[in-house]
Amino acid sequence: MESILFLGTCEEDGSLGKPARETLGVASQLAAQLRAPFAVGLIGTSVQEAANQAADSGATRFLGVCGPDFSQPRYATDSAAAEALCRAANATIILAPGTSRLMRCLPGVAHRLNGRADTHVTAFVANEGTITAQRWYYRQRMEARFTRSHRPWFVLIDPGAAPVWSGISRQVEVENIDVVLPDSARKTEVTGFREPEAGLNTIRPDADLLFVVGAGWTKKQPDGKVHAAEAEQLILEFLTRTRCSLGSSKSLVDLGSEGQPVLSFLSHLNQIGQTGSTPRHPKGLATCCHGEEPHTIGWRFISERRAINLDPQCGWARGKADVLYVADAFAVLKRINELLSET
Amino acid sequence: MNTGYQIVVCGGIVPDPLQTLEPVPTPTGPALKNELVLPATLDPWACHALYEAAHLARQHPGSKVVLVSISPKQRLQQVMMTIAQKVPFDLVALDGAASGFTDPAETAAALAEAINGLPGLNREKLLVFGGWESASRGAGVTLQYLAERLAISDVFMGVDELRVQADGSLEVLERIEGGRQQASRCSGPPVVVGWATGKLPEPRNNPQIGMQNMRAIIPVLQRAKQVKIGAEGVSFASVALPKQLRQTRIVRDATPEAIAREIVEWIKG
Amino acid sequence: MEPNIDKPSEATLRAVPGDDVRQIMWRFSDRYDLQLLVQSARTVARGPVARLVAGGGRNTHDWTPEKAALLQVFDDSGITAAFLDPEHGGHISGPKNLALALIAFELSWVDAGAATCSLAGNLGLAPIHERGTPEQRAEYLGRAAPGSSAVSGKPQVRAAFALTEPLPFVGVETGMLSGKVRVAEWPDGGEPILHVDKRGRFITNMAFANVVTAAVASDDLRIKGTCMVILEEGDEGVFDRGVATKKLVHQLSSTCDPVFSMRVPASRIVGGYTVKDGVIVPNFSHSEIIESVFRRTRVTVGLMTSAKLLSAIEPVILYQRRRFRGGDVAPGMPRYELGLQQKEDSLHRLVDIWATGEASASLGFAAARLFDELDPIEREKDHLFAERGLSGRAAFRELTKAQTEAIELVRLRSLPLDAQDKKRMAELESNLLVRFVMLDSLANVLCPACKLWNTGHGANMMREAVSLMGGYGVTEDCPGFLGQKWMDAQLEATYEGPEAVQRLQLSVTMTNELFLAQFEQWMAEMRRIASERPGMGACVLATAMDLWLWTLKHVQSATDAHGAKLFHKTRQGVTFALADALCWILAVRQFILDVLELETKGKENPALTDALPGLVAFFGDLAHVQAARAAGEVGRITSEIVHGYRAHGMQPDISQLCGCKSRDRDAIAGAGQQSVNSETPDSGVKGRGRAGALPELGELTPFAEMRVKLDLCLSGTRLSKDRAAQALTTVMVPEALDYPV
Repeated sequence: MESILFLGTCEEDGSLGKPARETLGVASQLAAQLRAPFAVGLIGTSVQEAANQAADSGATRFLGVCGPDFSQPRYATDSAAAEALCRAANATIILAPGTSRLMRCLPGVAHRLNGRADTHVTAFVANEGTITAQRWYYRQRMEARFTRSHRPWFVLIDPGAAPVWSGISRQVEVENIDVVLPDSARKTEVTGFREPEAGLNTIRPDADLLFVVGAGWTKKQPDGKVHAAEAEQLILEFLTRTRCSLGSSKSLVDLGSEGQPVLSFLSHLNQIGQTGSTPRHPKGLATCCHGEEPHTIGWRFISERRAINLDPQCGWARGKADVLYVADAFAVLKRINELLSET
Repeated sequence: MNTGYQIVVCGGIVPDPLQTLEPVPTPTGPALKNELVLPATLDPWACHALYEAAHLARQHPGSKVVLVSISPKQRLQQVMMTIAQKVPFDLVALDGAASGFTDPAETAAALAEAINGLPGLNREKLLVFGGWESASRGAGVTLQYLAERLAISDVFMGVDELRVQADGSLEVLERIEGGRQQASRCSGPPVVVGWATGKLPEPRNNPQIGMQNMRAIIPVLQRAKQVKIGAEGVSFASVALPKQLRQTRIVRDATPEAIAREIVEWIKG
Repeated sequence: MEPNIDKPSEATLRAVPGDDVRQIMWRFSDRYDLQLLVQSARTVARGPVARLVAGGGRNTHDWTPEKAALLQVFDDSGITAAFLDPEHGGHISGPKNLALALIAFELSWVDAGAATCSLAGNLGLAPIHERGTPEQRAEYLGRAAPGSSAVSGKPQVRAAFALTEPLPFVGVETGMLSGKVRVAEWPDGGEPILHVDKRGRFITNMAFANVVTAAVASDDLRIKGTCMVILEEGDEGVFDRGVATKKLVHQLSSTCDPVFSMRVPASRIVGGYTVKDGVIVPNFSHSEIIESVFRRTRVTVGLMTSAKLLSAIEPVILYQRRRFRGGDVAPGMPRYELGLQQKEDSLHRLVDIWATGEASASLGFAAARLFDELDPIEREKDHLFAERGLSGRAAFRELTKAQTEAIELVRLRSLPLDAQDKKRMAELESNLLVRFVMLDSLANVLCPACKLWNTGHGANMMREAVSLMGGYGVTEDCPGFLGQKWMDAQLEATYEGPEAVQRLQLSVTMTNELFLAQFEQWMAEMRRIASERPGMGACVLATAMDLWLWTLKHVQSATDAHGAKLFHKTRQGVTFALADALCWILAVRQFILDVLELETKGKENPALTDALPGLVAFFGDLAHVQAARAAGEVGRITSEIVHGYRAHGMQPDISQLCGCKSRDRDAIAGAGQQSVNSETPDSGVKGRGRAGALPELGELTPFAEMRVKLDLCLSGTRLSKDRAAQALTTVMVPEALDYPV
């Protein structure tokens, strides 16, 4: 008989964040399917509000590890807290959102409990008693479904992969689990958080649109000259007007390290694709980027895709985009900016 | 006083990203079609970890960089022809599978054994580096398993920067949600660091370094110990390529004006 | 009896061959210094070089800052230093022909102009490297190493080689020089000061070179003959780089027509000089120097074209397969999955390109390795001669004796094992001069053959590759830059000695008795391979070799219809054509040997275990295809020579057979029909018994028999081609090229 634990961390305001509520939904559904004992375990400065939020999830136990030591995302303290929660819940399956905080600590906890952890899971379902996880391999180039015999099984669900769960919030009783930390657990101190260096918050996971710029922006234009400054200005204006998220191809980011003309606000953080990120956005617009596989695998979770490229044979034309505009991105973006400014 | 670090970088090989990848079933689980003949590279995140390690070692005289790799040794040898020219390091090679379909727990166990077996291992100077992800399994869990096996309780993942402070403490920037970075200060080694892309460009090939590295690497490869890395307890129901080809509408001969209008409408729609 | 069908292996090519395969075939799997170098050069080629080409960097013949930036890239990546010995700042010990060949190959995979830019610096230094005095080597080779200027306090040497001159001497007449050297000043007891006047034409690297090795002839009774002189920017006089050549090819290298009028000390004469009776006698004439330089550097030029052909495979396959995607086709449909690869012709033509690329690369790398083997032996030989004071005729006599002994060694080796005189063989094998003349005789053939065939025929095949890309092929956007490569190949056919020069050299060296003795050994080797490994072309190649050798011997004594000698240095219709035929043979022979090497050594690499049978099967099929093509060329050329200089009506009279003397149309048709109906080749050849059959051919009978045999040996070649073509439809290729387009 499986026993299920939803494990989450609380936001600064004490609530459950969106990725946590997505995973809570998965856990809740699985517990219902399996008719398995279902507990909610929470870590944070204070966990009561988050526990209340999950009241309606079907969980029968609410466990918490709280206190100032557990406010900051830190491996030693988070893993100690999570370990205590798992032991208290005696769960065989632990579902957690794939946030940076839990991705950091839960695999270690899995090891301590002689279990296994799977991350970036996009679906986790039970079918006739068999529980199957689904995730991508080789940078989103192939998708596998698998089962595991190891227990406890830690499953971290990718943010955005499941619908957000919501239920009526009501007061629940939280069992506080005491965790005694050794001094060594405080060897690391979180000192703060930083915005991207560019000063522009150009990576916006919640934006509706991903705007990708490719190396073509820094290539010679029909007049035989490079127009990097103009490109920068057009792109920045577009970003300001649309509040979209900015991505780039690897080749464009790499140019910088080789002394080639670059767009000053780009860094490896913006890189989409094989060695970059695979963000989730409803729409994506690629400009001056060839759309070959190593880049477009980073588009796996972009629903509607359009591209502007001068080459009608480029990768986008081969089924990677919904629409390919064969055009000069400089001219088109200039006009787009004008139209956006009119409205 | 020797202020140097012992920096152990863990990294396996992955298929060159431009290669066509196709899963095939084998008696021991899924594998990549023609896996052994596909050109390979050192995992890109492990590469960044290695470059950062070498950079740190240069700044702290007396430091030593060791790359521990579990990979099929013939493939690893080809990869070394590029990597060994980048930065100086010692290699510890374990001849085993580098497939994305193996279990990271098994990889971590073999890595831990190799690291514990390093001569002169000094925990007070030990920095264990690796990639926070990989281009094969891409799970980001091996280093945490490894940390537990090595009894290291300070683990950082998605690291963009690591700076040694004057008092010997380490300041670490980790990538977190929303394009932000979390800054932490750790009083000192031992630590486990899973690197994101870091900040360093790819070092240029330096044949002198290559020749120097290879003199030691070739014998190491020749006597690489075989390790069995599988995925015990995991049963794959299916592995498939996504069928996400779209019916691309190619718009030619439209004016920038018309295209711009269509795109603006789409963005707003 | 069961027919001897070459049973096709079920194994087929899985993925395009990787580095481990090439290292075995081209014999550097135990040379990690070279493997590192390959990766280094590849990083440069597919990174900065490819970006420059993709960015339109080749669209001007001017030397631009972007092009100049590549020099630093070459320095940083170890490409520049690869030419230098460790004592001069290099990182590769021993001979470097294979190393430089691999660099040329890797750079030319993307752009051969970049390769030329890198290699021309070596060419400029090569006279000093090959023949320079110890002082000259220390000064100029030492200063060529990147970073050396920090030590020397002088600029890093970037060299150019100035041989070619303006019309009328431009081109093949390298023996005549209008560049002159005179004694400008000769202080009592001091070193003479020379005045050098030289106008160069098409001089590579001239936009930035600061050291030039210039070929000049004496214009002064106090200087004997010709020599090469080192000119340095900053020497007294005119160092005018001249205008850029308006070339259409190799645009990433600089080419100018410079003018020099300079005063330099006589110590700048490459290799030094002696003073005899008041006359400066250079230790080496310019032709002695360029001979030793070119015979090495020409091989790398040949490999530039090989790289182009092999680099065309992936872009063509990608283009063919994706040709109809994006249109009204869906995944799973043959038109979607295979595109143009549904058509046999597209596949067969690509098979031809691939086979040519393999054969030419095999030949080129074999030649490079041969020079690596020869270099130290040649130096030992020079040392020996110097020790014994042998030069001129005395040296020639020693070499002639060694040649006789070498032929003896070849003959001994060809005897059955139990009949060999082991003691004598060991004695001959340990003889330095015997080893030297054996390798030298091969180098004298392989070098021009590689330069001639790889580039000349390679250029033709590049045109095929371009045509397979349709209209795309002749655009700047063509993936793999195939259009530019096609043009570039034409330069490679001309650069460092055009085709006529190579044919001329071959027509002499291919008749060397020692070479021919080894050639006969190779024929036996091919026969043995044919029996042990049928289906890879050794059989038809061995017959083609027979045919070629028979023809060579025949023409050396035969006359034409007018009684004129067939084999004569002015009769290039014979000599040059036979040289061409030989090249086809040499290339595919080496390819077959490389496939066998892969089959043998590949088993030692566990990573290749699964793929090896398919690789060997595919390469075997390619070799078969290439052997058939080579045999066709040899058959055509030899037939034209053997029969083409005879007149109708000469004995043996074949006019009845072809019917061309008949005025009766039915008789002509009938004659043709009868020859078709001939039952056996044997009876046909000897012409016994039936009207219209072949007449008695007398001394030409063996030739006719070999021709028939050659045709019959083609059995299975098209089956091989079909298999190779089929493999192209299933071989896994990367999603995209690993360099920008």
